[in-house]
This record gives sequence, C-alpha cells and structure tokens, in this order.
Amino acid sequence: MEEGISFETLGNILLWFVVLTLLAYGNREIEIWRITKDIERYLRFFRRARDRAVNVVLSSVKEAAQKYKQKLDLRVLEDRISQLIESVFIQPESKDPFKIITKLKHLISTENKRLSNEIKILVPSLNDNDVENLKNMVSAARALNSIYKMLDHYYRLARKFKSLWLLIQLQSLMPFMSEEIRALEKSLDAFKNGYPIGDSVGSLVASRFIFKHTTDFKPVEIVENTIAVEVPFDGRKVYVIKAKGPSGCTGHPDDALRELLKDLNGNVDLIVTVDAAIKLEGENSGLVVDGVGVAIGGLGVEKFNIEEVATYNQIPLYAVLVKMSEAEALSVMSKAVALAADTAVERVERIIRERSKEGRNVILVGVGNTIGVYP
Amino acid sequence: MSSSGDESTIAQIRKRWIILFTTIAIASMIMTLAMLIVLIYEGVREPYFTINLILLGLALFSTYNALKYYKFKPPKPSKVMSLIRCYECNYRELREPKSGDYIYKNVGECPKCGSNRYYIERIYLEKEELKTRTP
Repeated sequence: MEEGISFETLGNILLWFVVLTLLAYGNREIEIWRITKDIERYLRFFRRARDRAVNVVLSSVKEAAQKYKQKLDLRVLEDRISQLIESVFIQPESKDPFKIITKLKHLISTENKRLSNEIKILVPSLNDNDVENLKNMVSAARALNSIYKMLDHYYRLARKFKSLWLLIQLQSLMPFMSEEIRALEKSLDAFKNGYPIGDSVGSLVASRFIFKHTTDFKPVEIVENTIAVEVPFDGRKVYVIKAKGPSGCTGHPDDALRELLKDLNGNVDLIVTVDAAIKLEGENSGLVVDGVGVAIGGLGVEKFNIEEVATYNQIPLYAVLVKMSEAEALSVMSKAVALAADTAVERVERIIRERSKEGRNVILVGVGNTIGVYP
Repeated sequence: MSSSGDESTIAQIRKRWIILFTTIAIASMIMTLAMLIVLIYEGVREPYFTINLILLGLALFSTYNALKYYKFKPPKPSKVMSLIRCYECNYRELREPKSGDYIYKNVGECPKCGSNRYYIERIYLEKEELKTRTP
C-alpha cells in the first residue's frame, strides 16, 4: 500500500486551487466590467441630454434674436453660452453660520442679475419675459452639465483606482440621477414655449383665487418681479402675493411679505403659503395636503425670512402642498396637477374661513415659478 | 416634445421583442413536436427526451414573453392642451395652445354669450398614464 499523497492527487489539489483562484478573480473582473458598462451607458445618456440642452439654449437665443431682427456673431454666441453653462455658484462659508442667510440671499440676487445681464448683452432688445425664460433654460442646461461632469469625474476616479466599491455606489445612484436628468430635460420644452410647469401650481392657485373672487383687480409690483393683489373674500381682505407672470420667475415672496406686513402694521390673522411638493412613490400626483409651516423649497432663504417675519409678528403660518413627482415638477403641468389646483383653492378657502375672523386681513402666498401663469 | 420621441422608441422596442419571441416560440414548438413524433415511433431514448423537454421549456418561455410584450400597450403620445372658459356663461373650449398663450390670457369674446371674460383657464399635458400591475 502506498503511503502519503501521490503526485497525481497533489496535482489535482493544486489544479483545483488554481481554477478556484482564477474563478474568484475572473468573477470580480466580470463584475467590474458589467458595472462599468452600465455606468457608461448612463453617462452616454446624460452627455446626450446635456448636449441637447446646450443646443436648445443656442437655438432659442438665435430665435429670439431673429424675432427682434438682430444679427448675432455665432462664434461669440457659442462662446458666451458655453461660459455661462460652465459658470459656478459658490455657496457662502458656513463655518461661522452667523448671517449666512443674508449672505446667501445677496449671492442669489447677484447671480440672478448677472444671468439677466449676460442674456441682455447677447440680445439687448429682449423683453423681460423672454429674458426670464432664457435664464431658466440656461439654469437647466447648467444643472445638466454639472451633474454630468460630477458623475463622469467619479466614474473616471473609480476606473483609475479600479475601485469596485466606488463603482457600485455610482451604479446604485444612476437611476435616481437619471430621473433628475429626465426632469431637467423636459423642463426645457416648457421654458422654450412658455408653458406652465408643475412647480407653477402655487402661482396658479394664487391666480385662480384672484380670478374666482374678483373681476376687477390691479396688481401692484410690491417688490421686484413680485406682485400683490387685494381680493375680498367672505368679509375678509385677502392679500395675494405671487411672482409676476407670465414670465418664468419665482419673485421674492419673503421681501413682498415683509413690505406688506409693514403696510398693514402686522395686522394679519394668518399667512397661507401654497407650493408644489415632491410626492412619495406610493402617493398619487395631484394629492393636496395642508399643514403648519412655510411651503417653500429652494435654498431656504425665503423660508427662513418668512418664518422670521411671521414669528416676529406672531402670525400663524399654514401651508397647502400639491404633490407631484420630480419629473412632473419641472415638465409641462400634468392634467392631474392642473385639476389639483382647484382642490387646493378650495382648501385655502376653508383654511381662511375656519381660522380667521370676518373683517380681518389674511395673506395668501403662491410660491413657485410663475411661467405661463398671469398675473 | 421630447416625450413623444420616447413613446415611439418604446413602441419600436416592443415590436422588435414581439417578433423575436414569436419566432423563437414557433421554431421551438415545431422542433418539440417533430422530436415528440420521433420519440413516439422510436421509443423514449436519451438524450432526445431531455432535449425535447428543454425545447418545450424554451417554447413556453418565448410564448409567455411574446404575450407579455403583446399585452403591454405603449403610452399614447403626450399632447399639450389648453382649456378656455367663459367666466360668465361657463362655456368651455379645448384646443392646442398657440405661441404666446398663458393661463388667464384673455382670448377675446366668448363665442356663446359675447362676454369678454373669456380666459385660458388651464394649459396642461394630456398623457395616458402607464398602468402598473398591483399585487
């Protein structure tokens, strides 16, 4: 009988070891290859969306110039648009948060003025509506560009260091980014044609309230790009604040509210804000909900200021939200959201009736982009 | 609208998959039947029996997928519509928006009562929702 392990058995064990090692390594390489290809597919889609957005911006500026019979140097135009799309917005330093909201507001205001000026330099005869719509289109193209570049950066880093974990994280993020990219892409159609978007629902509710309860009204531009309208409702005076439409601007609801409260000496029973809100997956589009607080998105500047002024004057804050998906918020207003505006108006009326007294003042703020919605 | 582009792409992809799965289903069914006849006359023998089972599985799988794609109805192309309403007599008109249209634009006189309170009340995207399967 032979003792110990034969050469053949040892060879077989070694062969198995080599095969298993190769399989484990190969499996990892195949996984990296598969994830890489998946990310590349998404990145190609994002790049195409970015390029399409830039082309839409360029063609819209050209169309606007043609409308006003103005000649454009195409090379200069492409250079300026490309510089605009590549430009950055640097957030204020937050290590010392004291007065950060004031700083942020100053920076946002500067950015808005700069964008308007840049567009007016390209086509000086543009009216305010066209300028606001082009600004929105440039902002969408900028967002698409920055998302694409950021994701491409992380993809290149992951490939450079062959980091499977970074690739997995990036791959898991792609479907969510894809939703955002689609939403931004769809917003370009709306901004190009001047149609209301899902986010315009706050402004639409304010406008519908005005048209429902008064036939003769005079909008007062209380602060830049923001109007206030006095509407009689059930023995109360409702002051409706919204961005000045139908251009694609969001106005300054916080400044308008401060001015209005100054004029009314703080003599207001309640403030109702109406805005679009992103729905949860299980919720239906057009669902109207109400609550307490300030319904307003963005960087938080307006929200902070409205909360501050309401707290100072001890005025209750109520909110009405119209739920929709992120894509719906940026694309042409869907039928469900358009119909929900009527429900939201009824909810606002109920809140005013139940929570304020007759003969008193109430403020209704229609928040959001007012593109395609007058006044 | 870019969304109509998406919808035609979905329709094209659907058509392609229906053709592919139907072809595979028909081919594998013919082969299964042929092999079944051979098995009946020659007696059950390996590996023909196993091959026959695999072909039958392929035929069922392809039929299921072809039916799945056939049942799936691609969404109709989306369309932007505007609803114009008279605030006096409640007369309504639905049409595609014209360039420069916006909500609460006064579009002239009501064709029914002649009132000048004839406004665009809504501009919205008419789109057939995709029906999702519920458990």
